[in-house]
Amino acid sequence: MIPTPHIDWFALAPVNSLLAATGLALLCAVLAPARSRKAVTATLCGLGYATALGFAVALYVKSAHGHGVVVDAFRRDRLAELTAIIVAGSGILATVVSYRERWREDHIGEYYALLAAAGAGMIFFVGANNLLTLFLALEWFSISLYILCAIDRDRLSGLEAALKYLIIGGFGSAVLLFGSALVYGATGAIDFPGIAAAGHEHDALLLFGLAMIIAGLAFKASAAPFHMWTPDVYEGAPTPLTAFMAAATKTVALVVMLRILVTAFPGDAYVWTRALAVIAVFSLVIGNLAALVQKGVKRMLAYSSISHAGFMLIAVASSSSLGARALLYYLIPYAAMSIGSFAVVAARERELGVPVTFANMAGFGWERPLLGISMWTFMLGFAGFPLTGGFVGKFYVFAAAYRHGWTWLVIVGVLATLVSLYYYLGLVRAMFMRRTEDLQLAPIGGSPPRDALLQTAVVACLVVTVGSFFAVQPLIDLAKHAASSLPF
Amino acid sequence: MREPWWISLIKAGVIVNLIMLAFAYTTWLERKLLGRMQNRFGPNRAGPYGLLQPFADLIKLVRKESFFPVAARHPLYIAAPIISMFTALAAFAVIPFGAGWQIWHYHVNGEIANVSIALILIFALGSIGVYGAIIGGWASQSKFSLLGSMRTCAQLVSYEVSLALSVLGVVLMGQSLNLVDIVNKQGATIWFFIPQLAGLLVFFFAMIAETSRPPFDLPEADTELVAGYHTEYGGMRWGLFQTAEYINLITLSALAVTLFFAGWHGPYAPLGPLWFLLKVFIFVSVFIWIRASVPRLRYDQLMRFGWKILLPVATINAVVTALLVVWIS
Amino acid sequence: MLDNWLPFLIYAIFALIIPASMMWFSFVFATRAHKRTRWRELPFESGVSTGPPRVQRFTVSFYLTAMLFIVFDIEIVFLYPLAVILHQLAWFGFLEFLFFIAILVVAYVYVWRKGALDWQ
Repeated sequence: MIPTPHIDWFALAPVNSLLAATGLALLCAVLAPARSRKAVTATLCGLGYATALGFAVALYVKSAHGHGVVVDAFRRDRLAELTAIIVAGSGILATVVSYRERWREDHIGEYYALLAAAGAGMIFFVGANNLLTLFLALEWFSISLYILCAIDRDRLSGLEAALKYLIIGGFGSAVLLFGSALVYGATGAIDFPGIAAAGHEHDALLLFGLAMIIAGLAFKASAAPFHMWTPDVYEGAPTPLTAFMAAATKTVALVVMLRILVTAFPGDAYVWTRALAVIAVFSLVIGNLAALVQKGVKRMLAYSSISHAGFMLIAVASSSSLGARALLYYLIPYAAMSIGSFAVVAARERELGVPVTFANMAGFGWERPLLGISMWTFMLGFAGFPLTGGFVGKFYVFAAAYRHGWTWLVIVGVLATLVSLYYYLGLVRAMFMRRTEDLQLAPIGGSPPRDALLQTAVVACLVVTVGSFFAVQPLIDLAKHAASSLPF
Repeated sequence: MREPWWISLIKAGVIVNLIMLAFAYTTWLERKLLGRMQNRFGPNRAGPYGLLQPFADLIKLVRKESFFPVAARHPLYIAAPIISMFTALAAFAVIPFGAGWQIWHYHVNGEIANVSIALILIFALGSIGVYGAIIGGWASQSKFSLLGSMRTCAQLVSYEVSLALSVLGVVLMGQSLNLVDIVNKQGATIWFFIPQLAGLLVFFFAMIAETSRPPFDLPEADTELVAGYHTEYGGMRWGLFQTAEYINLITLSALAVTLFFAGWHGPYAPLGPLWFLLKVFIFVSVFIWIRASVPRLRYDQLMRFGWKILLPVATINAVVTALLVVWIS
Repeated sequence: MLDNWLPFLIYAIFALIIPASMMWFSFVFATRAHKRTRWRELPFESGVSTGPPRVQRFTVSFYLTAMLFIVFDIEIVFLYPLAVILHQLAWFGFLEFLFFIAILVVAYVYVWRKGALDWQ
């Protein structure tokens, strides 16, 4: 008899519950009667994410010491579980926001099935413990996202966005894979601890491989100069999906970058910290400068997400336990703010039926005060004002950079924040402080459609954003436990 | 066991010639049997009972005019029939037809090549054989050929899935991909057609479709697209495609006999190769019988049968067999 | 390894020589046409011809069939090694087998209901 590996089903439970949700949603997409298809598949997707969230919380509580499961291909530790909690939360919010979206109904079941599949892939991605599992999970959620961008065939911008994402994302994955091959060639190991233990730190082959792996992951995190796809894809994809991508994809890409660099390449920290600092500066500069001139709100938010990738890369580049805590703390309000802001844009888009620009946001704050104030809070959060989690997050990130000795990086970050105030507050001004002549009323006349689900989601995001300022200590404790599973 | 290379050489030469002879007399058998089933004599002019008919056909085909369609791409046009026939012939190398003999002090194997992945080799060669049809149709640069070759290719490819799945049950029971091991296991336990009846049925139907025999021969039907992918081939070149088709038939029948009917094993007398020959003969006759009896299937019916009926049956067969194998062992 | 494959190589050479020689015979022994008219060289298209086939749209069913074939063939390729070794893997192996086939069954049901298996 061949000895079979021991499978820790509990560790795989979040992924498996989302996978089961995908399978069931796909079956319901073709077997359920057409009238109830949307309700059934959306419920399945939401339930899948909720179950995954529950399992992730239970796993977080129970995995005080991280260890490898399934023959060390997958890692069960608090870092993975905290990120899984963030992804699952984003998934639930994205499902809720997309429910009332007005689009072609014939692929709606597949939309929810693929949303669950993307979530499953992302949770698998953060738990990956070797290069092959990493690549498998990357392709898993990337391909789901490519199809999701194009799922509404009537939107030409969606089709274009999906094609761009496919080509550029495929290229990024190829670069990552090639880098993995070079690293394997240099060290003979594919699992992260094994690569670190092989000890070929200054091997040119390994450094090339490391550079390519960083490039591949930076593609996914939309850090400049690998950010080319972000504005077009974020703008073209359906807005609820953009919300999910902005929050979840960036979260997992950054966490995995942290994990792989700290676990597998500790000896080359001298090289990759500087490389990441340079990439961070590029992202901050390009993201902020380009966002200044944008007229479309989604595009502006896309460039702002590039600049935030820069901020979070500063935390990763500090390569210290403080930096890891900063990153993990920052991701929580950041995910909430991203989803919330894109949800508000989705609401305005549903009212007007045209892409949202700064001009046609005029008066939105007065018409729908709840959404207006939430958007105001999210913009302040992105800019790093106190009373929002963004403030503590940025503070933490700058503290990590300062502790590492990079005062110049802190100065660049602060300047970038100052520049970003222009467009964040510009949106607030558009919503609340426009002259009467510029006001855009909804073309339907009467009061705009009320969407309870979307408003609930936005309120939830608001609660997390503001709550992460007031409940700093518990969240920092969570981040600390998660960061402790990395070998610093 | 290893045999010296010159024995392999002699064996290869003998077997290849025997296969060509078998092909020749399969054509004779088909025409005779079809004739008798249609209440007429088959060929009976060329030699007693028409036994020299295949040679007469050979001479006729070789002497036909060698025309070249003006737009055809020459290297591919010539290569296509060669690919078809090469893969059909080469698959026979791993089929065991005897138990191995001791001649003087040399050991002679019962098959030409005893490789550990024999079954996959046969399916791989079958997949390459599809190339012959595609390239033949495309290289002729004519609309009928192209369309015919695409339909043939789609049909062959669809049934290859069911063919490979139906054999999964046999592999589960035989626990090896080596055909010699599978035959020996059947000799030791039970002939596999009894527990794997569903697999045999799926394999049988998939086999008819893979060799483009009636009732699955729509791509070559005269009334449809003239003659499909071999429209532009005349004389011996067309003969090559026909040879490839018949040898494919013989090889797949031999494979069915090996996988389901214990190859060269037989009751009472240990006459290895003769039992094998008898079983293959019965299989080929059954195919000819079906040709005489059943009308042609329409193309969409053909594809529906392959994807919607054979594939699920083969999958369920595999799952049930796996369950039983794990339960019993 | 060459031990086992050498006989196959020898046989394959025979299997290549025979069709090649038949092809060669078809050139050597063929009858020459008495008059090489142009019409003998044209492709047979029942008399009406519009030249070599231009690139045209073809039925998408061919493409779908090919893609589905790839997916199911890869499934089979993965199942063969599992089948050879299944009796040694006992229930663990059977569970993996079932899981794998379950994913493919979901895909198969989806494809069936979407109509990709119907030829048009």
